[in-house]
Amino acid sequence: MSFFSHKFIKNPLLFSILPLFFGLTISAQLSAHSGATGVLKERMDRMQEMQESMKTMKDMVIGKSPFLPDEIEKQARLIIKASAGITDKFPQGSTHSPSEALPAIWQQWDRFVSLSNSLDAQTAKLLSVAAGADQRAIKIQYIMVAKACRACHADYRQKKEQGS
Amino acid sequence: MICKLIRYLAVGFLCINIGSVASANSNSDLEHIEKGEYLFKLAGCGSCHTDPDQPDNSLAGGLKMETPFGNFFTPNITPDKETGIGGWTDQQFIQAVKQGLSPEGEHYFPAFPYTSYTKISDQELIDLKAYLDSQPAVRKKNREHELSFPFNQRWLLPLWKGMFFEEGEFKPNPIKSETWNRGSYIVSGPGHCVECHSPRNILGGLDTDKLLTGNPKSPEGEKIPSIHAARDPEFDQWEWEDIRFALETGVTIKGDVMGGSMAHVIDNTTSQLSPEDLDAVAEYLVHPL
Repeated sequence: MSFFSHKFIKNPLLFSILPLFFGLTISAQLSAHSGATGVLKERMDRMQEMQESMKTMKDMVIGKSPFLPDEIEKQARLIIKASAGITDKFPQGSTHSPSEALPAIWQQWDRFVSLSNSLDAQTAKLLSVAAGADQRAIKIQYIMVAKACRACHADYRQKKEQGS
Repeated sequence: MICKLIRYLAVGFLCINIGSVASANSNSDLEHIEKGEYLFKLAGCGSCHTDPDQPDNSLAGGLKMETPFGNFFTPNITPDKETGIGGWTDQQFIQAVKQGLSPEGEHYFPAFPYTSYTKISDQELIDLKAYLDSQPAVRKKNREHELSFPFNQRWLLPLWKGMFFEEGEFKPNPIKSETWNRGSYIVSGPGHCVECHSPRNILGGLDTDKLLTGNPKSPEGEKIPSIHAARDPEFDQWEWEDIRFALETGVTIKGDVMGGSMAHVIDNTTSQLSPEDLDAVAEYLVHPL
C-alpha cells in the first residue's frame, strides 16, 4: 500500500470529503455544458474560452472597462490557443445533444475549415495590431475577428439557449 | 455673319441648359437610388430575395423558407420585365410592399413582412424601386410555394389580414425624442425586428401584446431571444453601448457572437446602418414602451 493510500484510508474525514469534492467538481464541469462529454465537451470548452476572451476585449473596445493593450494581446493569444486545430474536434456526425453543431459542417467541410483558418488569421492580426496599442486599429481588427466568428456561426451553429 | 454668330450662341446656350437639366435630373436620380440602396439594406431585401445557392442571380428569388405552414419561395425582384418587377409602376410597388397586394390584386402570404413594411413612407419606397430598377435584370421564373392545406388557400388571406394586419405608416410618439422615434420606426417598420423577435399564434399572426419578447420557436425553427428590456430581466442588463455594438458586430453582452439568421441580419442590415441609426435603434431598445 502506498503512503498516500495509507493516509487516505486511515483518515475517515478525508475518505468522505475527497470523493464529494471530486464529484462536485466533475458535475460542475458537466453542467456548464449541459452534460457534454468527450470531444463535444472539449470543443464546447474551447468555444467558451474564446467567448470569455471576446467579452473581455469587447468591454475594453466599447469603453465599459479600461483599455489595456497588453490585455488585448493576452486575450488574443488565448483565442489563438483555443482555436488551434478546432476542426479536429468535429469528427464526422458529432451532432448529438448537447452539441449546437449543424450537419452542414460536414456537408461543406472545406468551407468550414476555410472559415476556421480565417479566424486564425484574423486573431493573429489582432495580436499584431495590439502590439501597436492603437485603440482605433485594435477596435477595427477586433470587429474582423467577430466577423470571422459570425461567418461560421451563421450557417454551422444552432444556438439552443437564448440570451448568451 | 452676325446672324450666324447669334445662331451659334443660341444653340450653345440651349445645349448648356439641356445639359444642366439632364445633369440635375441624373444627380437627383442618383440621390434617389442612393437613398433606395440604404432602405434596401435596412429592410434586408437581399437576405431573402437572393438564393444563397445561386449568389450570381442576385435578387432573382428562389430562397426556400421552411415553415410549419409549408415551404415559401421568394420571388424575383430584379427589373426583368417578364419574370421580375421591371414592368411595375411605382404605385404597384408601393401597394405590394405596404398592403401585401400584387399588381393583379392577389394577396401575398405574410412570409413577406408587409405587416411591418406598411409603416414605410411612399417616397422611401419610390427610392427603393429606383434602386431595384438600377440592378441587373435576371430572367428567372418564380417558384410556386409548397404549402399545406388550408394555408395554401390564398382566398383566406383577406380574413387573416382582417385579424392580424394593421395597415398604415409609422406614427411617431409625440412625447419621445426624434432619436427614439427613429429607432422605433426602424424596429417596427423597415428593420421588421418585431417579425422575428415576437411570439406568434397558431395562425402565424403576431402576438401584439408581447412584441419583442422573443419567440421560443420561430417559423424557421430557431429560438429567438427577447429584446424587450422592460419585460426581460436578462435583456435589461444590456446597456446602450452593448446593444449598439451588438447590432454593429453581432457580439453579445457575454462575448458570444450571434449565429443563425441573425448573423445574416448583422451582415446584410444592422452592420450597414448609419451611426445615427445605430444610436437610434439602441436608444429605442433600451427604453421601449
